[in-house]
Amino acid sequence: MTVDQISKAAERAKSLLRNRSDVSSVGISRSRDGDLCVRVDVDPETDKKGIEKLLAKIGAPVIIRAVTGLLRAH
Amino acid sequence: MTLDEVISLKSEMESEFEKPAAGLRLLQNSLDAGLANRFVQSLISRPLRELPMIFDASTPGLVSAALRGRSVTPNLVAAAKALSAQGAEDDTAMPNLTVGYSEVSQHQYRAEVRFQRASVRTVLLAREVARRANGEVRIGEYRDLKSLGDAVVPGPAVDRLPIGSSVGHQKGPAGSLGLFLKSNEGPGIVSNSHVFARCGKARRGDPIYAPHPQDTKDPREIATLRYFSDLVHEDEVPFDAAFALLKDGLPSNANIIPQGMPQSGKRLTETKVLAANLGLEVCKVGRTSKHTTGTLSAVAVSPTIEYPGLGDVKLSGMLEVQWEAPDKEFSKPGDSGSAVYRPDTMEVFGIVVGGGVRIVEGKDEGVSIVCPLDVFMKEWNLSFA
Repeated sequence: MTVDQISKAAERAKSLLRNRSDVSSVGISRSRDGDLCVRVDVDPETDKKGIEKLLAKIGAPVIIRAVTGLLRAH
Repeated sequence: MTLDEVISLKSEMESEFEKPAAGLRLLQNSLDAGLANRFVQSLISRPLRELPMIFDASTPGLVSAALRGRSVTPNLVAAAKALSAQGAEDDTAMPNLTVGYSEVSQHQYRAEVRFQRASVRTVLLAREVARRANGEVRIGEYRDLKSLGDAVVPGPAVDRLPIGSSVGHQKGPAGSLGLFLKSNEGPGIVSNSHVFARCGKARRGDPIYAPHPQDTKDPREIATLRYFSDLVHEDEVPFDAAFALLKDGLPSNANIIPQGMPQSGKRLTETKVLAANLGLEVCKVGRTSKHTTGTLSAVAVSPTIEYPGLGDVKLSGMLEVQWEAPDKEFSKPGDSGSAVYRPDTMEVFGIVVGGGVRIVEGKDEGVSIVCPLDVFMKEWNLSFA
């Protein structure tokens, strides 16, 4: 998957997940195999399968992670 | 000299200053004996106070043989004794000498050497700079230097205000000087909006101080606020950055890694981060944790950051740097604004905004959030000089 393709896929994912309060961040990362993927950080209670289904149409591999904790300005 | 050459000379000489027997090394260089000579190498680690014994006139034959036939003259013995007298008390003392540079014409530079309290050692070091600079050097002495608070940076020497310095607005938190950039109105410095502009509550023209007032009793006004992002009135913001115009006479365009850190003396250059860069090692230089290393783990992320006194703000298009370990921070409070760069190419692509430890799939993970340069540089028409 090229950088251009993954960037467009990430934009599609952001658009589909807009206004969902249980999604904390959508970005681009690498999988454990080193492949580019769309990374979605969600609340631990979120239905990951539901997100996976929603993002099936973006045409890129997706990693969904349960994330808690605050980031503070330094 | 070109800029690269003069920066390289500055870096070489500063590293020379840190060596315990710098004076001895210079003495050997003045003999043109070369460091490949094993006898010379054996002398490097000897205390300077032993020099007179080694160079004593009673053993000139042995020393001459060791120096491959070069004769031991009375001048050499006298120089050795003088060096010994300078170094006997404290062989590791740093010389009161600094090397900077100034632009003499377009793209041509010369070294600027300044010293306090002339001594054999400082004079020898200054001469060595002149030798390596092929005479393209100006040497001067500082007298009656006052504290940084009310002193003007003497002469044209630069690098007095390095990246990573403590900076900020009087009513805001202390942060880090990220980069020197150029605007249509002149040279200036970059950090975060929450460092320079109280997240958007400050006013254009407000003074910016270095060091930040919480770090010194004698803060110095170095710049005036010009551009900043407003974190207050927007739900999602594309960057947390601010630009302040440097006051007249202060050095600009000194995006050089400060002395005593890895890559010191090297100059940062601009780049744009692409997803292809994911997994690369990156570094930053900041006020609190100085030089640290991490890994670029994500791009185009949209994290929520908690700002003291303001609350949560969602940023978009940010970069994420993963810490080496949850207890090994890439950035700490006060590092905001620090330039983040690739150590292999010295290309800089962003400034630190914040960070923390989160629980990801049940495991602790430390990350720092970095604001990419290209977005606000384009918005405010800023450039690397």
